[in-house]
Amino acid sequence: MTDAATAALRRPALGLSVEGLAPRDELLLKSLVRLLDHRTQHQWSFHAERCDLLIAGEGLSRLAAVSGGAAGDGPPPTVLRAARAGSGAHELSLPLNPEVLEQALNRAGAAIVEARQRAEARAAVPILDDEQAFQLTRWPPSELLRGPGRLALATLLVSRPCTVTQLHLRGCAERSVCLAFLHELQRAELLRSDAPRAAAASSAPAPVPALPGLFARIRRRLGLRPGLAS
Amino acid sequence: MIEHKILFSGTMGAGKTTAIAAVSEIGPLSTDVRNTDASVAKATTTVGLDYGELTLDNGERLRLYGTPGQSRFAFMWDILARGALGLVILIDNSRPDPLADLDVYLDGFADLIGRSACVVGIGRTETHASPDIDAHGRHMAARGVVCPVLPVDVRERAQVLQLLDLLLLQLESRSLSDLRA
Repeated sequence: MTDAATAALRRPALGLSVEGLAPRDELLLKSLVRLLDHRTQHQWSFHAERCDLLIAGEGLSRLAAVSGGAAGDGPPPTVLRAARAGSGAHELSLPLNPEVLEQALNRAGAAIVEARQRAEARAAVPILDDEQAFQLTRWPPSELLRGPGRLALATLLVSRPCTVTQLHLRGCAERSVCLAFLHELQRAELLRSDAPRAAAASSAPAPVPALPGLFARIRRRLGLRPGLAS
Repeated sequence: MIEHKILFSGTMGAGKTTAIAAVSEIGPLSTDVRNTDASVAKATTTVGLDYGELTLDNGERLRLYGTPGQSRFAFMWDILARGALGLVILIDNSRPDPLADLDVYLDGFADLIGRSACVVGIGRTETHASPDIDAHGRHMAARGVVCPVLPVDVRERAQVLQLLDLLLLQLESRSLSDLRA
């Protein structure tokens, strides 16, 4: 795995834009974002056009269009308004404070990533047959994991996309049970779908090479039930 | 002799030593010293690492390493992570900011999590319910990490085994998918 790939896994990349700030504040903001880059939970880069987060100063002309969601091909950016007395969830107080800015970026980034994942899940196709493979966008809430075998089924959907048949065979669960579980996950907007070929040739990084039968030997030694490779 | 390793990491007092002791075939070797951190109610803490092991039926050895919990020892994490099969993160939910604690280990082991498998066990949820398991899951997803997260009492061997079961399941699933790719 390359360093860049590791960084991307660690921190989702997001676009940031600034408008309507005084030149001094804008310069300071950009410097702080660069300085905070090793600390923020997301990798922020400045994109004037394709931004996920717009930090807006007072008197921003574009704000009305942004708020109305009228402009651009993608979803409208989240707006963080910078103001002298700003203290709300969608406000950034001036003068800029590095800690406050870091917290605001982390908050906004988490909300943007969650919204992206919801949108991906909404775009998922219905589960009809083995034409599609599915993968979790996040670990499911506890109520969806109640029921025999569901913890294992969810775990199988973590590392690689799985079709219904793969889930049925690997999870040692009835096909109908797997299908019902996938439907519940999809209703909760926790699945994204991939074509079967994509499932096999996933872009996820290769695992640590293991010797044949190693996991089965570990399972036997720990007294665990046989796993997939046995 | 071929050797493999699984790492246990997490906050000070989360139970890494106890978890390793629950499954190791030898008494865990620990480099504990008297705890001087008044915020954590334990007499000793691990400043080096914990070590346990299991001998597999073909003579291979599975080493279980507990990393020092304090982030000032993060330089050791990279060294321990090299060649590890997977990672068990243990979080103590009774600490002031468990989600921030989780971030420390997601960051510190990002490379290992990306190339292998990870499972997160949240301790002391029976006395400290917040943040709940779902909040931990959402928090990880916001960081681009999807892996099993479940409550755990590491004093119960069965619960430690469940963490390892889910870790192995991820590794097996990846291995099968990659073989067929």
